[in-house]
Amino acid sequence: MTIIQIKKIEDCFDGSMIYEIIFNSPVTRPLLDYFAGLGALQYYNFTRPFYKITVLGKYELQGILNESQLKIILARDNPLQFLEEFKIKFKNWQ
Amino acid sequence: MIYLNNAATSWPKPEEVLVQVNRHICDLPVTPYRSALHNSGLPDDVRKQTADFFHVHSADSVIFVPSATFALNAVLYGLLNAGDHIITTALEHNSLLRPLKTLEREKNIILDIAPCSSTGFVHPGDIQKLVKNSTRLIAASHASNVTGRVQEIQAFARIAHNSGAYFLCDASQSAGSIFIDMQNDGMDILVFAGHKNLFGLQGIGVYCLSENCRPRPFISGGTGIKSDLPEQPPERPIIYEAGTQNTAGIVSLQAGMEFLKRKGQNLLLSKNTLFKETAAKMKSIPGVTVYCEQDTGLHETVLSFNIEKLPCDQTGIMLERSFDIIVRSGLHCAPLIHKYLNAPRGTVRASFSVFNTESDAAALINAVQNITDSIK
Repeated sequence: MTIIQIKKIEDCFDGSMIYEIIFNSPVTRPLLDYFAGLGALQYYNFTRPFYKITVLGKYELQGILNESQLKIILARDNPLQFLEEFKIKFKNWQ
Repeated sequence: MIYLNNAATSWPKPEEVLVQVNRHICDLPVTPYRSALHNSGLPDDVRKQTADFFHVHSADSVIFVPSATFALNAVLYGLLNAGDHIITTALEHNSLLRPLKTLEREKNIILDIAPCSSTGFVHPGDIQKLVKNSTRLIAASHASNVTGRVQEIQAFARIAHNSGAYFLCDASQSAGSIFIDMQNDGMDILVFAGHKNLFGLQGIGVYCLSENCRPRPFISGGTGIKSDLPEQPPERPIIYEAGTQNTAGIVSLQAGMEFLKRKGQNLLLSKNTLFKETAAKMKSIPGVTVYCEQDTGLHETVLSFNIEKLPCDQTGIMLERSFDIIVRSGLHCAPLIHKYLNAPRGTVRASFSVFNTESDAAALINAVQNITDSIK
């Protein structure tokens, strides 16, 4: 499983650092459990389950289980460093 | 997928809009005032229909532009001079606020902003308090694009006229949904977008001027007639229109108005009923804050809310990705109102069209209930 694209996205606030990360296959439960180990997981058990993982002071991951993309909301201090850190963590899972 | 983002752009469009626009695009192109092949009536027939629809004093005072934002810029830059005092409100969209803030810096206009209530109502008395001898313009939305609250625009107009100022009404959110009579409502300038409740395409906006309101032209260029003149011809409408028009957009606006004239009244009544019922149900869900008073005053069918403990953008993503309900979350390009709503990071906004059904509204309520249950 690899990251095939990282796209910067905007919200309503100046200075927000949000990216969409697109993988070549869906975020499955084992991967979500691995991500959950990086921080605190909130899991909403809807028909299409929503997850949010907060890695305090660094970033937040949001997405839908079994979809191939997630959103990463980076802390304003050193955001690109935290993005790189997430990429390394993801690589370590494989 | 359930679409509840009609305050941004209405969808779907009525069948006749699709048919008329498709026909227009497939036919030989007609460029207004520039075609020798045939006289399609574009855009002057639509100008007349628009004048009838909004009771504008003259069809020549209906100006077609690419958007309501363009219209507001055209009027503000054309009308205001250094030292002019302008009153606007905390409800406003950036389409009005940003040109005013730019003019404040560039041209030294003086800007005052009237506050609003926690549901987006601007008391006319708060406008009155700000009036000065130099007040040249009062500019206000007809309905908030965040809370839907309709304003007492006739009172705003009276205050403006009593102080020798113009009254500009931004009806982008209400045009096509709430009856507007430009002359009776006392508007000197009426601005609206075509792609919301009028069911036109994106890329068509309109401003209408009273007889006595004469802003300087904002743009100049080709008009197709009087091409021998070195500057923009002085008569309306072409003094304000230059360049090739968005004829497909104008046709879509025409078809949208015809649809509303034929079927609008009953559909709008049903839409309002659906909105009020949905707002009442939403208010009854514990942990949900609703930013409207659906039983007080006139309302556009915009339902802003937040779920306690959840950022609005997260609620928006959940609704869209987990429940297939498209809403909008955030500031809705109206940055000032949120302070008064006590929602500094914004709201979730579900906005209804005449094509939304009870089943759509029920799905929204069920989804919000489901989300609130899951965070207990």
